[in-house]
Amino acid sequence: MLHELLLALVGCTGDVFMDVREQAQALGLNGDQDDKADVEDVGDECTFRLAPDISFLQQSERELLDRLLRLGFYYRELDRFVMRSRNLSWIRTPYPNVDTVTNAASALVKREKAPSVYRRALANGIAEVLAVYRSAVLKVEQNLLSDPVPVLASVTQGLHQFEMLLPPLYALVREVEREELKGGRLLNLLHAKCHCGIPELQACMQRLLWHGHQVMYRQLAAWMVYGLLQDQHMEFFISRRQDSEGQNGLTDAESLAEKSGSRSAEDARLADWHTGFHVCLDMLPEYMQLSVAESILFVGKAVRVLRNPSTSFKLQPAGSQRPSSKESQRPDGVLMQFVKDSHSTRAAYQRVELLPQEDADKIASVLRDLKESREFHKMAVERAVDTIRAIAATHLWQLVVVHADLLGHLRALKDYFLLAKGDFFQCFLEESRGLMRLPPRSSSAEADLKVPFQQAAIKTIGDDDKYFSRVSLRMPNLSKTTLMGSSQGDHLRQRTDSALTSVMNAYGDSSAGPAYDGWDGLALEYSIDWPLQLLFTREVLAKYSKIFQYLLRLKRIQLELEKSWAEAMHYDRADSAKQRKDPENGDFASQRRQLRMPMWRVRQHMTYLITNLQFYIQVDVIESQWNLLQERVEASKDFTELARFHQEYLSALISQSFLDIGSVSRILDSIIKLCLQLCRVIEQQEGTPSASELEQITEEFNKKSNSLYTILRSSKLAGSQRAPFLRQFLLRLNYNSFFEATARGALNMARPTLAHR
Amino acid sequence: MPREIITLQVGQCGNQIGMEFWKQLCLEHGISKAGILEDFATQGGDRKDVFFYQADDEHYIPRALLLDLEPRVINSIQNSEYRNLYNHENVFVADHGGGAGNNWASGYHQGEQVEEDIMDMIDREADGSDSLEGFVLCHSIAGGTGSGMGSYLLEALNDRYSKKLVQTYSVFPNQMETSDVVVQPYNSLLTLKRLTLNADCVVVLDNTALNRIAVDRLHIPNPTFAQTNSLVSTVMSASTTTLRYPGYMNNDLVGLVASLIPTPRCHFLMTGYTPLTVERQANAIRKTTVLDVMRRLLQAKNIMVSSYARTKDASQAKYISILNIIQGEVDPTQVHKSLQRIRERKLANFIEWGPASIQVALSRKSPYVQTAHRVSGLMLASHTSIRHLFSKCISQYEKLRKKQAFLDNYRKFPMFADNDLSEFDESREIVQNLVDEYKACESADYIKWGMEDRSKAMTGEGNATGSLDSRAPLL
Repeated sequence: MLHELLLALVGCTGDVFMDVREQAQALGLNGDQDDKADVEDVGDECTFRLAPDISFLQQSERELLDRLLRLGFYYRELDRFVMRSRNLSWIRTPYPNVDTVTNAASALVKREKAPSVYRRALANGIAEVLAVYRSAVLKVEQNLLSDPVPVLASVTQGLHQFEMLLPPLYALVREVEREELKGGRLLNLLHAKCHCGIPELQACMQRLLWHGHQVMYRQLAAWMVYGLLQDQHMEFFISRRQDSEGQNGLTDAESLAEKSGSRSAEDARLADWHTGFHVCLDMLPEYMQLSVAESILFVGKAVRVLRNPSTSFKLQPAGSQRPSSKESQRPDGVLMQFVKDSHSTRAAYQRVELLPQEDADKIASVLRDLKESREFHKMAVERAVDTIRAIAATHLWQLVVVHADLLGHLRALKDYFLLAKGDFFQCFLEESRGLMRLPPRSSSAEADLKVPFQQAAIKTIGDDDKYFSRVSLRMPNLSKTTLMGSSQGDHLRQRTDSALTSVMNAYGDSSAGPAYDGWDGLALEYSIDWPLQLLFTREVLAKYSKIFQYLLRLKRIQLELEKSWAEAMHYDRADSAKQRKDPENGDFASQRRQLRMPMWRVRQHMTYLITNLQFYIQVDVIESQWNLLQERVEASKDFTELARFHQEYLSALISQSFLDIGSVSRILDSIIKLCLQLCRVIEQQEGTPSASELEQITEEFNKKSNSLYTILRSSKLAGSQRAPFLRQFLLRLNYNSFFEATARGALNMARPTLAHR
Repeated sequence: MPREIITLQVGQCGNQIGMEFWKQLCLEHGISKAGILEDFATQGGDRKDVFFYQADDEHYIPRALLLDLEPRVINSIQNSEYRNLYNHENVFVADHGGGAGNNWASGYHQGEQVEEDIMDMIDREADGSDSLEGFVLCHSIAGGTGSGMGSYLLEALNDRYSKKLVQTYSVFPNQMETSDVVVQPYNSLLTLKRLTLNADCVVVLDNTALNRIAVDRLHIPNPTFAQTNSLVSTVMSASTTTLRYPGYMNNDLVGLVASLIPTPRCHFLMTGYTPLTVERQANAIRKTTVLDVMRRLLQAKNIMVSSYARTKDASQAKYISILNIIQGEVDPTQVHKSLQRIRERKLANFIEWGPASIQVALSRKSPYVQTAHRVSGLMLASHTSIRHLFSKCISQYEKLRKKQAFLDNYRKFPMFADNDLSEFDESREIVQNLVDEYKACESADYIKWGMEDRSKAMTGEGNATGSLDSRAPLL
């Protein structure tokens, strides 16, 4: 009887202590139920019973035995769970559909709908508890053998602590199986159960959580040290993008690749960085903050980048750093010399360079420490992740800033996209002026511009700029609007500019800045080597392009205005010469000089406006922001910050140059048109435009410049975040209060007419 | 581009300041005295081809013509360390070597006679450039060669290269001291007419102010010409930095001057420079900020044109436009703050008839020239007070003219032959007109000035010359 009891306590029932359900099954009462239902049906109720036909026991003894039997039941059920969860046969049968294995294990596997590493870890933990329990039973047996009485009391005494442990554990296991919990959610549950007032149970739960965390730490280590995602069952809180999203990204990448004409594994790697992975909130334990998870995500991605440098990058350091000898990269150069000798050493060099072994080791050891600590401390984890993130970010910073020469590229982008190399663009516009006077030919516009572009490069840049080879000119396929505009010809277009503008706006194009002519679409492209795509995404380059188009238009109109200055100056000199040399006709010449005065004046206003806008953008916006960016890039050693700084830089450029204010863009648009109109008139009419035409331009321009000033002054804009920049521009524009006075004058002019009506 | 500029240095003064200018340019671009690029000058980013061209043998040769009617200054250049810098074919010295005798008429007449030779030289230089932008003339307006021959060249350039820009650096005589050139008021007036009619932009360098700056600001008791010339070369090189170290804007001559000159006649610019040093003189100027520089540039004591205005007039004087070229390590955010401060304190008085402001161009500095200053600045400004300088020229001319003094020297030459002094009268009228226009700029209704003048001119000239088409055909 005693041994019957002890066996029942470790889950083996017999005739004295029997499992009522099994018995019922054996009798065929539940025979039609399948295996699955069997598992489901195991209720919370203990099914172990003292055989009812034993009559010599008293009621109290029965109750006691029933209580003990419950432990046996729990043990058995837990043990079954452990068996099920620790079954490794799924390793051998990767395809769950293949149903050829006939042993008992396979049946279990089949039941196991979703295998989970975390559940296995939990099972390991429970197995530990069960082992303790078994040894406790053994101890009881030994005690009883040496000192047989009192039987029941000593059994109860020996096992009573498990009465507190096994039922909650069983409940836990039930919940896990019922909900099919895995991964982060399993950890959640364990973590929640850790908060309980019973020290033994708490210790036990913590141990189980520890087991769960072991898995997590392994996954973390694989991810953060080697950049590998070891997660067969989709349990880790970092996962690859779902297929549908991934495909989207792919097609996007493809369309881009078609444009640029080069497609390679690079793109895939890039997609990896930008969209390949994400934090899977479902699997993120609730006690881990999202920011921590994102840090972890970042580290893994960074490690992936650092460990898999692009093949094209390998020769990069030698190639890019030799010309700039001032950067004292001599050791690298020497290193590179022998690196070139053998491919394997080169790879080794790269690996060492980008993510030194000691730092990888450091990450691993930080994780190991975490793994080994008995208890889970949120703070410790967060601290550790922070440390690791810092390491990874520093190396990525190193890669991008030092090895990939980020500042050089940023400067090049400023030189070309932000027109800091003004002489180059001036030369280009000069060279292409004849071409750009005509509407672009849709088929060959881009090719047409190649020649002046190269010409300008030869004349102004020469071999001085190693970055120039990366810049290329693009004339996107002419959209419907521009085609329409160009087909109407230059002159007509000027008349219908308002209509055109509205069309442009309808196309949502107004954000691209003020329109000028068919060549507005002119854009630059900059070819970037790995790993700078991490920073310069397509969106980023698109922003640069947008600013470029805006600045180029301003530059074009500025050059036109300067040209007409020189022309008008020439006519003026010629007329005064005529006046002196030939007094007979001098009066005519002198009249022309006088007639030109209003033209001079409006031209001056136009130049003033355009020049000051440019000065403002160049000095107050670009250069100021650039200095800030440069400082920040050098001061930080962290890639994440780097990316943020660059984003901030770009958005500051756009918002401070008012590119994103539709109303300002539209007014600038018409102002540019008017300027162009005046330039054409000056050119065609020997600097002496007809009074009526000039009057019309002047009046229109005054109105526009006035409303520009009014808009910039308006409380709506002044109240917004860009108020300080607005003030900066207004200070320049209204430096001698002329605009203010004009605006006031216009107001006074307007009022009487209103009153009159 | 490269938007080349050909420099014509005419006469004693012109060649001296030109010489200093080229010295400075060579230093800034790392070009040796023999015209060869120094080994250390590898940094690039500068544009040498605007002012130099490269001969086959890696020599950098200034696009400069050295013109004089007497050999002294040019000889000294040709005997100096810089003798191999220039293209010897570009040196012109009159055969007789007798100079112009400080006589404008002589210089003008001789210019006429040697036009062909000089034009050949200019043509050759122009052919050698890719897209010539214009000419820079360095001269003094007081002497004979620079003023007379310079005047002739201005007219000739207008005829031959009518579409090219002409900028001059014109040194105005010291009017505080009695000059050894007694006829300088005549010469100045006659030259001023050409500067008004035939140049696109005149940078006025007033020897009176240069002297004052040398004495007061640099503490040189008796400044030599070499010392004041080095001031001039500083201004000249600084005003061309945006052409030689290109940035966002102002990368060619038009871009530099077009926004400064709103109307064709008011094309006389004043300059200011700070901090100033002469050659290797140790300086005691403290660490400078952008605001310091911009504020000092507005102070009369740093401006290289003396103000002859009376206080009442001076208070009426207004800036038509200002361009500050700031070189060196500049925090761009400081620019706005400085602009704001200057506006708040009303340090600059601007015209009322149009928009005007201080434009600030940030420019790079030569990496090869070590200066003690972090920041330096040049101001190019169009200011109405310059009319007082012209008024002074007129009044001095009138003093002489009343006495009919020294006119015989002029009558010897064709322009004034047969006692035809109408050239003087016409010049006076033009310069007076210029003074009036600048004066009109001080009032808010300058815009109407042209119109009134036109009706006046119409009635006046219309009566004199008989009937003419009173309406200009509208093309």
